[in-house]
Amino acid sequence: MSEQRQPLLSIIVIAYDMQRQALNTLRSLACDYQQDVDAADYEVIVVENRSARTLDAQAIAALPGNFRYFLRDEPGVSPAAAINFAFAQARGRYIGLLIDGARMVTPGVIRHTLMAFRMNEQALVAVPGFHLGEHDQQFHLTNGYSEASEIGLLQSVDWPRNGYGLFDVACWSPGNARGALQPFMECNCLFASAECFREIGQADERFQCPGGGMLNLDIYRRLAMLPATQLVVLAGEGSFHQLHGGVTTSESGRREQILQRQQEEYLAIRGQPYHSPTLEPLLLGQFKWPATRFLERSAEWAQKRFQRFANDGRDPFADERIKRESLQTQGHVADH
Amino acid sequence: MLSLLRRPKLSIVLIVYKMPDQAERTLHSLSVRYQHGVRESDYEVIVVENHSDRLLGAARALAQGGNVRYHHRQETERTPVHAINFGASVARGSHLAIMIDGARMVTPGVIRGALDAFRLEPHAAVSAPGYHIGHKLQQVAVNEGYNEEVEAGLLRQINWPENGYRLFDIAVLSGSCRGGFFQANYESNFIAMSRRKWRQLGGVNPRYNDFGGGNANLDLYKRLLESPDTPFYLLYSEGSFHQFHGGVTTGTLKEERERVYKQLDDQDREIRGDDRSPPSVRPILLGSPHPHVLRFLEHSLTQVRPQ
Repeated sequence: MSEQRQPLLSIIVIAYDMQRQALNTLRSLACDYQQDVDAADYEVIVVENRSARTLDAQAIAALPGNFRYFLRDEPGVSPAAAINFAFAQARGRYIGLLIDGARMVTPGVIRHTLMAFRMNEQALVAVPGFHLGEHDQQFHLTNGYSEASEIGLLQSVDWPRNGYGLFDVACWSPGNARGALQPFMECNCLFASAECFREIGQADERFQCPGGGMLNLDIYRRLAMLPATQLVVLAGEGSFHQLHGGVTTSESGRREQILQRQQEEYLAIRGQPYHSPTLEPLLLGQFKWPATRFLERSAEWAQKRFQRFANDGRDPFADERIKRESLQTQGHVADH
Repeated sequence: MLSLLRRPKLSIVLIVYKMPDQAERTLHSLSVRYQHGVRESDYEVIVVENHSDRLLGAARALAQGGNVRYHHRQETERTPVHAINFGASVARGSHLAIMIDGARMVTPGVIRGALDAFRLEPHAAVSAPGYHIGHKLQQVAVNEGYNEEVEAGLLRQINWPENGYRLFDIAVLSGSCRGGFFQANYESNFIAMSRRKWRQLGGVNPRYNDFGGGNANLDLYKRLLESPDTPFYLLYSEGSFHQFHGGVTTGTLKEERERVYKQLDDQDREIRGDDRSPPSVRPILLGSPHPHVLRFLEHSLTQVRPQ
């Protein structure tokens, strides 16, 4: 019956060649894993680009909640078109985007996201990212990390029964390598209103590098820099990357080359190099014990950053000023 | 004038007794000149002053904003509880914030934070942690010569009220809040809720009729946080900061203070019995992690125990 009511939130999960990992991610979005949510409040739109290892549609259908699965043939190597296809399916007033289906989440993500939207329609909700394992997965070969060791880690913390146990077997993701209180470079589990996504033109299909290149960073920055959005960081929650042979999240001798090509593509599209949006975040969350050690590090790093900026006489949230100015300009235009 | 015609969202009840200068600064901290992101029409400040020989008075109170309402009361008991219940009875907002001690000034995001939290959850309990200005708790510092003059020097040092968040730089957590941000602690000087919730609770308990209301504030806080369907939002990066004013428990010398404490404790035990543990509720944190609060965030994290 719940399918008849329009969901408030549509969560887009993009998958490609990551059968086991994506199913774990979907498991973490199911309504019996997410706490204090009404199943009718959200739908999960799974869009998979066909590979030799596609997801098991029946296994998805068996998950509790509203999962809608779409398997499509994609001639290219970028997820941009798949994301826009997913947007066309989404019915929610708010949209969540997990561009990399290998990132599973903690049990409070949906509850807190809906809370943030109740507070502010224009919230941009960012969930900090982590990698499973002791080390950034881009060095997995050097560190002897494998899918088998990851499966062992998940068992050791009794996942999925213990969703917050993920914090016990993880490290910071490079996208927010300096913790949850400093500007993120990107966010792999982010939420904004459908309206905001429309305003930025959703996924720019000119990003054609494998894995989308810097598409995810581009989406994050453009949403963050919309004049009216308010950055809300769910610092007590997380998205956790599982090893799956991703373009930049697994060890490769060609990594430098790949990154360079991605940066060139970004520069060609946006006309300037990328930089992380420096916005003052609003923290929202109820912190579980396993998350607190990460918050401790975040507070230490944030203190150092503030000190450094104060010493240099720089504004730690310079982009905030740019946003305020464009809001004023908009107001000015509206007044006339 | 317009701000008095439209119904505000939040009514702040501020109790004043024998602290004109401190209360004036607190009122400034509640004004739109100091608070961020709010308009006068969003809230009203109801000052209830119990009569004394050191009155703030209507003129000084009203000068702090077009949304201030002033009530001067004659009080026969040495307690603020009747003043609080009176203040709440004349409130026009859909939500109330109780500030039992007019000597506690606040940081610039308290009102906006409370309004955010109530948009999120209209029947939430919302509070901000309490601090003492100075490098030690004032009940300790007073024995070492801390007084209004020393405090004025500290406020000058941070150029108050230029950046209200700098209050964190010259303060310590109140004794009742030293457990930090990840637990409910014992009380707050900014306790906010819907008016409906206030009615359900029956306001502050008028039986607390001794010095300063004794534990009336702790009792209100506990009953609110433990009432069903009441998520608790802690504006962890805001605060209320106690100014020295010779209050009953924060500004008297040791011997006298201990005698008073005992008396208040006896009354509290009579009213509440033996279960006076802090509310067992885990807060939802809401607020911006600005640089001035980070050392208190770090302290708070050292107080967290595995659940």
